[in-house]
Amino acid sequence: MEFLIFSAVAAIAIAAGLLMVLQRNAMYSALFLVVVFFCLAVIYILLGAYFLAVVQVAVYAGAIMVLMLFVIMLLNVAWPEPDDRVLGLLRPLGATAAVTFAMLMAWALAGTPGLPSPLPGTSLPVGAAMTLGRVGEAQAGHVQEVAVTLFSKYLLPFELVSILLLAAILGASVLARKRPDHA
Amino acid sequence: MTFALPALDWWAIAPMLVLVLTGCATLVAELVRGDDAGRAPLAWLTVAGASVSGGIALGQWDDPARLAFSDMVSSDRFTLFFTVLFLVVTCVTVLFAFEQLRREDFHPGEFYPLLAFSTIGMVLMAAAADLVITFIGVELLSICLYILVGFSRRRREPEESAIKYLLLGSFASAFLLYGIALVYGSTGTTSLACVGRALGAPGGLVGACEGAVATGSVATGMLLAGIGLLVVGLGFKAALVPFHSWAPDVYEGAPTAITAFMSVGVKAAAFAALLRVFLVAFPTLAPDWSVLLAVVATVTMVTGNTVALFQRNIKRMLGYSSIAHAGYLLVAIVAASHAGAASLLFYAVGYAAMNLGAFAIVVVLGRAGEERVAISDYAGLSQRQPLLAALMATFMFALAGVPPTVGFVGKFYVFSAAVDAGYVWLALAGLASSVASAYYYLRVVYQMYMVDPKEVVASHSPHRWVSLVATVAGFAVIALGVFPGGIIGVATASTSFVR
Repeated sequence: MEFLIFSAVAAIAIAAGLLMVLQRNAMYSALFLVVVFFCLAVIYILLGAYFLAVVQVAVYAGAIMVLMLFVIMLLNVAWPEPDDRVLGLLRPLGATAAVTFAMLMAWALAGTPGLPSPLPGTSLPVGAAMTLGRVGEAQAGHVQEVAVTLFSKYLLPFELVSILLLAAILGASVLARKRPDHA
Repeated sequence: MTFALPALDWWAIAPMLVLVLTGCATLVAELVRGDDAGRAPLAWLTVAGASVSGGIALGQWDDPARLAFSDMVSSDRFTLFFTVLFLVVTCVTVLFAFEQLRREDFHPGEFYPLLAFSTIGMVLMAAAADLVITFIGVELLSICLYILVGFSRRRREPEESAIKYLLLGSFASAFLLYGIALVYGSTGTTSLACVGRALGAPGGLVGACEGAVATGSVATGMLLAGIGLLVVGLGFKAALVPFHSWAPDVYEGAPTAITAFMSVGVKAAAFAALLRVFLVAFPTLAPDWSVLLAVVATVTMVTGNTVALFQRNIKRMLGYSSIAHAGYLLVAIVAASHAGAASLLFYAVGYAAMNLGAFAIVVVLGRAGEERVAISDYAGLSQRQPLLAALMATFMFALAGVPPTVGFVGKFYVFSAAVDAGYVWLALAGLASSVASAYYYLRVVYQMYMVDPKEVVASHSPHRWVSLVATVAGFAVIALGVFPGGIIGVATASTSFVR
């Protein structure tokens, strides 16, 4: 049952991801991205990470996507058609690179003992199994588990991210200040 | 569930804490002082903060090496070495920017805090004992740089550079993150030392490795794929070929101060991270990745030096030259030995001296609104500014690797480490391409000494601080070339974790 749900959701996520990249209309791309986010949330639930799933939907599918859609609508960009002479050269190159990369990844994963299955209970690489096991143990309080980990083991990275966000805010204010000067 | 705060070893991260305070202080000071009043004080505040931070780092030199904050960062001589190097680069950048801010009417209130925060990012990349910290360091540095690259009100090219850097940089970050995920998936840990232990590396500073797989039971295919992606992500920051395409455009479009900062500081930070990751986490896989890196190093050296031959803009030329130097630095990692690691640290210092010196001359010769960056602008410089011309010639000779400068000694250490590791062909390729590089470096010297000036340019008094930087760098280039022993000793002591 779990495997069925996982396969279905993973397939939808991959399809939506591809559609997102292939769409020419930015609006459709954004909507397909929402689908990807929802599929990821379901996968998080399957892995027992309920808190992450909720955050995924609330923050990414909710807040950030609404913001992106607003920006797209406000800017109302008319995308210029890509120059086919340039793309004509790049397309086969990009396709070759993508196929080579996919084959390399397939080779890497195939050469891995005990892979691939991201679901608990089935065959797993040792490292991943242990990680999943740890999530599984704390079925009772996922938010607590996340919070304790965040404020003990990952205290320093957690605080550093706040500097990162401060830098991002500063950057946004620099960009906002620039606009009138060019007008 | 019980909750215990981890041991808070504030002293271990004190240099970074001072930088955080410095960044916040400049931010607030600008608000208090008003828009235009605080220009010089902000610069001095940043320099003062960086000096205090560097002083603390020097004071920690004899502290025992240890992991801090739940094994997230390592406080050892390697971290301190790079911390001091980064802080010197930051101070020099402030002096460059001070000159440029006055000329180009930048807004300093965000510039100095962003510079301080990006320095924290670089220190984190060198100090990281965990891939999570490596990633946060890279991101902190990158986000600050995306803004700093486009930091000009008068000109348009900086914005184009910034958007190019942002798009490609985000891509590179995704590769880095994917690589980290694959390493975690195959080893069950993101701690560098624990990954190393799972791969059978001899001990060292290892923390608690809960969740890590037992030694010898690592999924190798996935791990190698992860290592490949890490090379892409960090190679982008270091501007290694073929992940270099952004570098010349960004170096040309960015304000010269930031170009200098990126070509020296950011590159050194990327190599510090590469060295940490590859020689702490993956030393036992060296036979696998060193061939890959050797090929990348060869391509980088040859491409950088070849394309630099055709540049007419000095910032672009220095951009391609810095790509070539990234190749030389990578040779030191390919060697995967203690001597190689020490030679990387030495080369990073020498490269900082000669490249910052060269950029100081570029800054001095620039003027408001017009940067004077064509190589032909240097024609006849020896007649107008004999001291500047002599200094520039010194830096060009050093970059070309002519003895008795630090450029020669650095290359000597790097290539002999490669030969000791059995990479004779790599050393030969490096030597051949650095001989070719002499042509474009010496062309600048030729312009300065052999060509008459085309026009009489109103000579304006050079900025004294930037001239001071150029003079000090000139002395350092010669002094380190003649007496390399001191720095090599410090570099050797800083890399004792490499076996």
